[in-house]
Amino acid sequence: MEYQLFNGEYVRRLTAGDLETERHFVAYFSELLFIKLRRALLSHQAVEDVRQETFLRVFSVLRNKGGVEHPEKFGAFVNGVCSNVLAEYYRSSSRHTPAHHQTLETPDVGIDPETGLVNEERKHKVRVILESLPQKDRQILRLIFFEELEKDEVCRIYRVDRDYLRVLLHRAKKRFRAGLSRSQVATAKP
Amino acid sequence: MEHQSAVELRFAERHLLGELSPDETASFEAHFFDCALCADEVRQGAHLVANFKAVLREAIHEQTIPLGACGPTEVRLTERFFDLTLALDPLETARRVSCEFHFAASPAPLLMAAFASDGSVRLRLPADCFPPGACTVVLRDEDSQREIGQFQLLLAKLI
Repeated sequence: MEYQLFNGEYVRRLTAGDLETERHFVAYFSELLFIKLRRALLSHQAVEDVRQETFLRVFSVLRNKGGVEHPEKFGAFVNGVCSNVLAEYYRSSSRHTPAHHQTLETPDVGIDPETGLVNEERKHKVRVILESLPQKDRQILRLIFFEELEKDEVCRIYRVDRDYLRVLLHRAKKRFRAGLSRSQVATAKP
Repeated sequence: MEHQSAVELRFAERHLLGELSPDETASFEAHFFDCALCADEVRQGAHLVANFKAVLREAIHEQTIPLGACGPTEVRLTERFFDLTLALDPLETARRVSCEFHFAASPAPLLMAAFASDGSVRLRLPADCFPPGACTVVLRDEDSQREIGQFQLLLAKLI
C-alpha cells in the first residue's frame, strides 16, 4: 500500500466530474469524516449534516477554483474544510441555543451511529479473535469499549499500564485485518 | 506530523482509546486524512471496536425477576453475558445495594455492588462466573445491611 493516495491527476479527474473518481472520493472520505465527527458531535443527524456540507464545499471549491493548490495534500484539505464546517456548526448551534443550556445538542436515543461500520463478516472475525484472547484481555477490551470504564481504572484492576492497552489493541487490529476479504480492508486507489 | 512518529507513538491506537489531547487529535487527523497507511489503521480500529460492541450487545440475554416470584425463576445462560433486573418493593428507598449470590453448587458466594433505580436493580453478569444449578440472590441496603429482597434462580447452562 502507498502512503500517498492523492495527486494532481486525481484532483483533476474529480474536478472534471469523473464518476469513478467521485465514487472513490465519497467512499474514501465518508468513513474518515464519520470517525472524526462522531468524537465531536453527539447526534447522528449532526454528524450527517456536517459530513454532507463538507462534501458540498469541497466540490464547490473544486468546481469554482478549478482544483486545489496542493493536490498531494488533498486529504488534509478535506479535513480542513470539515474542521471549518464543524466550527461553523458549533457557532451556529450556540447562537440558537439558550445560554443556560450546557450542551449544544442531545444524543440520539435508540440509534446506533456505528451501524454503518458493522457487518456479518467483521462480527464473525471479532468473535474468532475474542475466543482466542486470554480472558483477562477479553475483559479489558469489554470494560473499555463496552462498559466504557475509565481506562486508568481498568489498568488498576488488571495491573497493567496504558501501553499494554495500546499493544493489545494493536495486535487485535492486526488479526482483525488479516482475516478479512480485500473488499473489507482498504479503499483501493482508483 | 511525520508518518514514522505517528507509528512509533501509536497514534492510531491512542486516537481510538481517546488518549490524544485536542492538539494531538487535530494534528493526527490532518495526517491520516492524507496518509493511506494511517487512514487504514484508524479505519480498521473503528471497524474492530464497532463490531466488538455489536457482538457483545448481541451476546447479552435480558431477564427481569419480579419480587416475591413463586418458585425459582429459570435463567438460561446461553450467551456470554446476561442482564438481570431484580424488581424491588416500590417503597424501597435504598440506593446503594450489595448483591449476594449463593450457589447450591459452590460454597463460595459471589458478592457485587450495585445501585437501585426506578424500583429495581439492574445487573450485567458474565455467564462464565455462574455455576449451573440453584442460586439465591440476597439484596441488602449497603449502608444498613438491611435485607431488601431475596430471589430464587435456577441457572441453566445451555450450549
